Amino acid sequence: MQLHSQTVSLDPREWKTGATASATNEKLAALVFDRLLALDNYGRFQPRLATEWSHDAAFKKWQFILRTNVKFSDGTLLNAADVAGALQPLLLNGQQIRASANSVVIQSAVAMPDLLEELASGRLFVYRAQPDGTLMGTGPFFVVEIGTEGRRPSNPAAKDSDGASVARGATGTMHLRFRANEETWAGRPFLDEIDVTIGVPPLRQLFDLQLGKADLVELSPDLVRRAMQEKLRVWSSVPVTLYALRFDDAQPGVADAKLREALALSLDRHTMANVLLQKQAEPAAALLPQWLSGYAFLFTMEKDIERAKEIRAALPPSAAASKEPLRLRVEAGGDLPKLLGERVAVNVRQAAIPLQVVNRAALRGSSATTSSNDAAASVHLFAWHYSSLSSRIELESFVSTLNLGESTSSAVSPTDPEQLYAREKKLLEERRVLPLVVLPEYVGLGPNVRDWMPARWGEWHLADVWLTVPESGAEQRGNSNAASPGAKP
Amino acid sequence: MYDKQKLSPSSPSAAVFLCLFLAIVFLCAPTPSRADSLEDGLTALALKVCLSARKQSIRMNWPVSPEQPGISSESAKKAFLTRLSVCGIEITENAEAPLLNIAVQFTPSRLLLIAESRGAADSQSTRMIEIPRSALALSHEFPSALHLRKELLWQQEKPINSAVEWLEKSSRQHFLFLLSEGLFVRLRHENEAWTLVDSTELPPGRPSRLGRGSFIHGDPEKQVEILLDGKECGVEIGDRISFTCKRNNVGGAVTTVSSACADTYAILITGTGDRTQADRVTMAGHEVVRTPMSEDEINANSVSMPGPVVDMVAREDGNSVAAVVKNLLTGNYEVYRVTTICED
Repeated sequence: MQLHSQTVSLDPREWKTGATASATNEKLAALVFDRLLALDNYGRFQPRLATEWSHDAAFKKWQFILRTNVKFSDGTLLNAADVAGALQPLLLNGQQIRASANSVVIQSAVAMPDLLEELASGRLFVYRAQPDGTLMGTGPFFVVEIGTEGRRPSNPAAKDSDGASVARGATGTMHLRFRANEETWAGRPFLDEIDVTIGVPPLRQLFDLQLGKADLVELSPDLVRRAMQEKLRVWSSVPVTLYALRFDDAQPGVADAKLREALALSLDRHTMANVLLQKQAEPAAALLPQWLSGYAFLFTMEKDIERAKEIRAALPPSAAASKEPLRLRVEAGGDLPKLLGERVAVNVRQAAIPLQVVNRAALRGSSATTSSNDAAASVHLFAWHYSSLSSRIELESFVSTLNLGESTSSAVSPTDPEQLYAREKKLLEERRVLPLVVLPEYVGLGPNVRDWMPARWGEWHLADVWLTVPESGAEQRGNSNAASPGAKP
Repeated sequence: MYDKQKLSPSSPSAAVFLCLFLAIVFLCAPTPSRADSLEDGLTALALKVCLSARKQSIRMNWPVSPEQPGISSESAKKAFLTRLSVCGIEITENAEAPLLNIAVQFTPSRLLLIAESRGAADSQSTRMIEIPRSALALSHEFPSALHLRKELLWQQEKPINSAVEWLEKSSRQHFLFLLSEGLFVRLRHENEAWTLVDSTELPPGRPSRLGRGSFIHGDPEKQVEILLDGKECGVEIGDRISFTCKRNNVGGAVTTVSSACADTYAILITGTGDRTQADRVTMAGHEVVRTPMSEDEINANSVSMPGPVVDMVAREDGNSVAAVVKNLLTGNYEVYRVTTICED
């Protein structure tokens, strides 16, 4: 299995909300850790470490009965204190968890009707912190080896170091090897081991998939069409990553709502999605995607270049971008955000708003000598990975991470979807953030991968996957389409 | 007498008062944004529309949802319109009238009912109700093939590993046995429905991602048997269920069923796909050694299933098989009875 990510952390406490790296972290952590429950593709919550749950009438107190005889990868039993200790630092502010016999109780002063969605997604994994700081899980696999390319993987005794943070070296790639947990409560996974290589460039991933050197790779959007033309198996999730513009409140130049409106009206999101990204993305009119909020279709994308020019022309001479161009800083890594940034600049210039694109590396390089350059970036192009299955929690995380609003703890009634819609509508009308496009996640699969049954929002469920074992030429008789009996679970 | 006259519909003034009273009660009720059933959700949405719109005639777009036909059914629409009419909102075809768009949208865990009103007389407003998806019951019919017939016997959310019908010779009782999540589940056929009798834990063993246990082709002269962790376990059926296990190695997704056309058995097989693919049960012929079939032959002699066939076991009298299927559309586990029918 090959991943593009440069770094991996299996410690959920370290993950940054909304960071694109957290998508990779979640996938690998799901090999090692379990959640209390899961959400299936049919909208039903399925028991995992919790077998039953109940709540009071106000949704302020939930009790979760824990599965018995669940063992960590070292053979020790999971208890309620482990669950409480693991989840407390990961829960939202104001949520308190306590152990009670064979159950845990989560309480909050405000209603938590979407607590199940919260617990079934994101970083809410159950682990046990070891004295040396590493984490241990109850999941279907455990980490056995970590190594760099070009030398034999080290750390063979790292059975318990499931919470390792792994960074790619200056050269080469990094390997993580996961081994099947024979004692896992859900039954041994079908695969004996999973070898994960991180830091592999997208094109090399595609080649390795074609050559059979990898069974599963991440496909970058620009390679999806090529992979399909070459008859490779390609799977895509629902859109899970948003690319958007954010205006820097500290910069007086973009404080003018009229300038932001002109800029918003100049954006051609359809061209970005359909031409630039070869129809592998969707234009975004909302902060939350349709599959998550259910109401995103109510928002419309307004593109009116003439109106944008009119607004720009009516702005006072002192307005930003009159004397010197606005600076757009591309915060997200990779080629795709740079391309989007350039397209934004083209669109905005059509409305007579000069804009200069500065990518992250350039700003970093300049910051040592001219720190004012960095501070001058008034528009930021960023990526946001959706990680919660609760639209309310996702929106509140978005708002708080980007400092878009007031204290969010009571900003939206958790029981009213209309308020959530109204809040997002208000955020969009303020135009402090302008959504551009949303992208699915693309995966290339080898021909031997069977029972690939991911959640459509990107959970891979690798413990359910198995591989057909290619038969040797001499033994290849009979029905060639049939799986090798020895490999089928 | 006075009360009776006051509430009598035969009195015009009383009828007006009654309607007014009902309308006030309807409009003054709290307006929840969550509901636990589709019916309650539509009622709550109608109430919200009533509160946000004045008494008028409107046009309405009602959703067509092939994914959830029950939501957009005529009966649901009628119920919704009835509730709107209580507060004086009537439906018209007049193109000048304000438009009310009703939408049904799914999120990973919820269903959103959305009413969006647009029109000159009524500024744009959006009302929403959310319903847990788990509260929605699904029912789908699938076309039958020519030579095999299937009947849905049982469905549940929890995984079923194996199922078999069993006619108890002594008592003449008709059972359906399931192996589900480590339990031997006994259902009895009573009054045209299956009733849960009891469930018994299987002998302890190692958990498996595919679940544990599979019924072995039943021999009417023998007891019920299951294959469990590589062991063959006899099941004693009595007031309580007990198991006697011995090591053996048997199994397979091939079974036989008695032919309705001749005094012989037909071989039924399932496909070789994995659990991501819908399967079919195919009548492969009458010989144990099968010859390869063309796609046309397979289509003519098979019955499609709405998902992968998890297990398939013949009934003890050999007249039918029970096929456990995971429905890929609903996620439910379903048990089908597959029999042969003879057509001239």
